[in-house]
Amino acid sequence: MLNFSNVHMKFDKDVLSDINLKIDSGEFVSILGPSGCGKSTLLRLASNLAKPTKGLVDYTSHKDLSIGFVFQNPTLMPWRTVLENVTLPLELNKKKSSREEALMWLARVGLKDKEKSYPNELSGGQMMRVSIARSLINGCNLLLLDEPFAALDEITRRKLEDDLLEIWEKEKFTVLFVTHSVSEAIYLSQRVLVLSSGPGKLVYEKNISQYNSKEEFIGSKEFQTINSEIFEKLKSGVNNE
Amino acid sequence: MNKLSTYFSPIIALSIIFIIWELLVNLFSIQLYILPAPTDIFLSLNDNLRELLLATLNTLKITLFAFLIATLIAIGLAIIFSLSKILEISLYPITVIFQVTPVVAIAPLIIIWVGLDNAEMAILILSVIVAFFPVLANTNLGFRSVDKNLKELFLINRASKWQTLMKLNLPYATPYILTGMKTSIGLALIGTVVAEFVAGTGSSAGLSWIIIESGNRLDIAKLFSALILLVLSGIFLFLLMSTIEYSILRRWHQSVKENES
Ligand SMILES: Nc1ncnc2c1ncn2[C@@H]1O[C@H](COP(=O)(O)OP(=O)(O)O)[C@@H](O)[C@H]1O
Ligand SMILES: [Mg+2]
Repeated sequence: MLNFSNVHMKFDKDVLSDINLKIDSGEFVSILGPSGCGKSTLLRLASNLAKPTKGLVDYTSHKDLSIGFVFQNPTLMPWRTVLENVTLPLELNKKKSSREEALMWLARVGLKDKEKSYPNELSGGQMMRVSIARSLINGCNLLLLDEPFAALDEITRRKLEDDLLEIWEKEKFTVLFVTHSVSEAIYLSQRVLVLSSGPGKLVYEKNISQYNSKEEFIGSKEFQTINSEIFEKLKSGVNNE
Repeated sequence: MNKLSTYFSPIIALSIIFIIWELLVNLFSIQLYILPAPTDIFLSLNDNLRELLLATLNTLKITLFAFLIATLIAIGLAIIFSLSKILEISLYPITVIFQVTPVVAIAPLIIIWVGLDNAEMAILILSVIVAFFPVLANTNLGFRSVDKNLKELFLINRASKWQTLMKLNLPYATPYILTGMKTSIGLALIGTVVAEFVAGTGSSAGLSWIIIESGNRLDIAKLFSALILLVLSGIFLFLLMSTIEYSILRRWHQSVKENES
């Protein structure tokens, strides 16, 4: 689905260095790293918002590529209702703005009766749900999320994580999920990558076995082991600076 | 402080000032041509009502027309600036020159250019020059303030320049534009009145003409009535813009919500 080959990114200083990364269709991959290590830059490269200084970012399924992006802030338009916010990508792609489709997505993110509300009438969690619905409405097959739940409280966050997983399990779009929460990364994804800082390099990669239930997984020895392994990696990555 | 007292306190204060004014004028028997008592002013207002209202209407007509043209020019310029950096850095300084030059200084030039018998056109142009800058500056600021992530969202969805302008930049800048318009509408009135003083009057006299004329004839009561109507016009224009602003931003803009509570 998405390939990074020998990607370097340089602004005033080197931000990303020698990134090789292959993400398969339908995969759920998380990227962890200390702040400022280039995680957002990596997502901007993945979404074509920025071009790498060196190397190549390309997609295997060019034809029907549709990228959804979820920012750390909900990034809604305060002058539009919830429904109108969700239909925006359809309008911009000159597709028929379908009310039914937007309502369907709103229901799937758990905002059935909020379509006429304005963003400033919603809670932080609800706004993030609108943002997710908006990112998925245009037939998204590559979803990029940049620390989307960082500003939410623990309980809201867990609910949104579970709802996101449920939608992903049905739709099987490809997910690249950036976070600085180790447990969130392990909990959500099939594969966890750790980015070190200064310049950002991929220093750790781990496939996560899939358990029957997430509850079972959280309680497992494996969860604990991966958790402490990643913590070690993150610590040493910071020390190298 | 409840709502009622915010409306009534200034009215009560004004009434007290009028009463003291009336008493002082009577007590010291001040001449009518120096300082008329409030009652004289209201009598004069009543006597000359038709003429005064007509003049007010003329002034308001040019003011509103100038304000609309100024707003359109300003938003148009801001849009052009947002599309072309080169045009922005070349033209913006010129707009600043217009802004910092006193209107009375350029008035003679404009009057000569449009023709001496074309006073109304001259007044309109001068008023536009006085009024357009706040809308331009605020629209510009609004365009620059557009949320970076929203811009990226539009880029990811391959929005055209036109779509970005209509669906993102203009709506985002709307509160800024309205703030500029609130300043501009007052400036348009000032511009019109000053221009009327300098350009004289065409076929239809505005409030400035009445002020000049009654000043020359020492009809100070009438001069005061014209001043009162001028003040009321200013308040009317400001309330008009505030109402428009409120009805547009009611549903979504934070500042409106905060003012309500
Ligand atoms: N457009 C840019 N211009 C210059 N420097 C940038 C730009 N974007 C990011 N950077 C720099 O790149 C580094 C990584 O930023 P970012 O990708 O936002 O990190 P993260 O998301 O991991 O916190 C930071 O030091 C930041 O200052
Ligand atoms: Mg970031």
